[in-house]
Amino acid sequence: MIQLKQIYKRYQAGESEMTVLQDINFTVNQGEYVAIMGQSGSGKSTLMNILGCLDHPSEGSYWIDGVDVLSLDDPQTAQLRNRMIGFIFQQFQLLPRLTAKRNVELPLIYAGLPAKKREERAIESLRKVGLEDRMHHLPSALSGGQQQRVAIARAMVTEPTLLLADEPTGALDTQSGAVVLDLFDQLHQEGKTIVMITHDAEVATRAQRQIIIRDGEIIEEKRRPVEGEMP
Amino acid sequence: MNIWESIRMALDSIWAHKLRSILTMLGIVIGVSSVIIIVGIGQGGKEQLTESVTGSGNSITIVPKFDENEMYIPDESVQYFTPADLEGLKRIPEIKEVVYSSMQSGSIQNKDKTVEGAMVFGVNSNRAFDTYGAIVDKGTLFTDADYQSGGNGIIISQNVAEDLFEDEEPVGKILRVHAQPLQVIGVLQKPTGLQGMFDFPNAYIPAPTWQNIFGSLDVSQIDVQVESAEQIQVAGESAISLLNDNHSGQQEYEVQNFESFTEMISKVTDIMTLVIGSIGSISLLVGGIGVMNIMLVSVTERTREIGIRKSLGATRRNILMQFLIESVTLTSIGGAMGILLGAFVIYTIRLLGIFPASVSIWVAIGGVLFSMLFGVVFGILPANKASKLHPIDCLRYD
Repeated sequence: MIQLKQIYKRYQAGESEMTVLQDINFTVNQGEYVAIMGQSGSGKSTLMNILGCLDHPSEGSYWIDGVDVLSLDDPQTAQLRNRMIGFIFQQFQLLPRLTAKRNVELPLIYAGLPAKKREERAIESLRKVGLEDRMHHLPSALSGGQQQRVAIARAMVTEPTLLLADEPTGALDTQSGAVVLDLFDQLHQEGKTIVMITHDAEVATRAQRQIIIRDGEIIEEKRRPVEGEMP
Repeated sequence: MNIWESIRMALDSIWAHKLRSILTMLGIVIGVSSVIIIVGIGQGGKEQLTESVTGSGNSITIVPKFDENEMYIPDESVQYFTPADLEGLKRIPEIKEVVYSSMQSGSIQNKDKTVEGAMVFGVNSNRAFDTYGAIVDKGTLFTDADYQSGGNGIIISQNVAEDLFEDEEPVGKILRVHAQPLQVIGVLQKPTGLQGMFDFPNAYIPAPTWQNIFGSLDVSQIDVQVESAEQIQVAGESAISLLNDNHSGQQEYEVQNFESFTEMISKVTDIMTLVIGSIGSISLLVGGIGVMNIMLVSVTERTREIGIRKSLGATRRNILMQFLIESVTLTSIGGAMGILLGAFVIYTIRLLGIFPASVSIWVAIGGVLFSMLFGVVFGILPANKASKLHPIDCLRYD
């Protein structure tokens, strides 16, 4: 479903050129739960931005569901982000002046849905993360864990094919982090494709597959033993 | 994305920064209202002027012609319009009526009170009052009998009445013009608008009575009434040629050309309006720059928001429209408030009777459209800047 081939990302840093990503190749299948692991500065965030179509690689090709992502223009890329990708960020990235419900409605506004449908779907999505009773609250009135669940509701409301999470538990305490990860497990069981970026090995074990990068290169791929099988 | 959704977003954001939005709008409010007030005063003044100068309907004024360099001061030793002239003019078929008036300054006296230097007009018809734009407020006009046999009534201006009678009711009282006793039959309305600025004491008496008091009948001005407007030119030409023949070699006559006079004055008011209006427009321009400035600040402040919106599927166009609509909404509200403020000031000026200012609906519509245009012009730069921001830079921005 997702296919990256020979992705390179280079930055111009003064006189010299810095290579952040080097020869990245991997495939994520429909319904897979993949963790991309690496220390800070390993290039995993850059990889996440490329996966989310927020950034262009210097070289390589990237396909989602048979669409050549890098050939799309701005409105097409925006539409792709809107329909096919749901983002979850470390800092939640909710709009502070909008209520939980309005935040969740945002992607549907850009999708051009009529107000009534938008509202129904936003409430439904908030119900899934267990926050329908908080839908009229502003983000500042919610705890970190609750804010991240609102962000998940927002990411899921357009029913995207790919859920992209960048350190989703990074700003949370263990307990609310666990709630968020349980939610991911649940979404995975429902058949969602999830790509999660983390530096936390323990968090990464929740995924089926781990891709470990260091200095911009993939150095290892681990598959979690399927239940009942010996490691 | 729906336009109403954009307007709602804009209003949300304007509401979120109430004080800042109001201060930003203030420039537009002041600019628009000052333009409205200036144009309103200019237009009201022009209307008043044209009305008072052109007078009513089908009449033309004939005056002796003087050299351009000479002041318009009638030579008292010359009789410009003789009784023979008046008779001759009456026989011209297009002319329905000849209204003439004589004027001399004189003193009007009531017991121990005297008004010196009042303009005393001798008139032969009640139409003369239309010509001078004088309206009788209290009492009556003269009767036909007064005009034929020289009645002893007098119509005085409001300031004469005040000077001579103070709080007493003037109508019915006796006063003296150059020792001749006359009875007040009417008092004129206080002139409004531009004429109010030249509010000299004056009085009107029937022509025969005037002749008794001042001696000869020195007609200084003639107004001829015609049946319809089309006849004005023919009547005017015949009247002038008749008078020029009667006074051949000594004096020439002309139709007082109010049109060029009106044109000149309206040109002057137009230029004044334009000049002061441009000063108002400068404050509008400064207001517009203020809007641009605040929008640029707002874009910087909301960099993260722009990034979030982009990650959720907003196109560059969506972001551009969001900020553009926000600035247009800001200037439109400011413009509407400016029009309300301007109209309020104009109507206050009117109610207080200071000046006959008016606001036309077109100026109001123009004001709103213009402020919307300002929103686009001064919003495009910040909006464009916002739309070009790169999403990952935005999300990293703190």
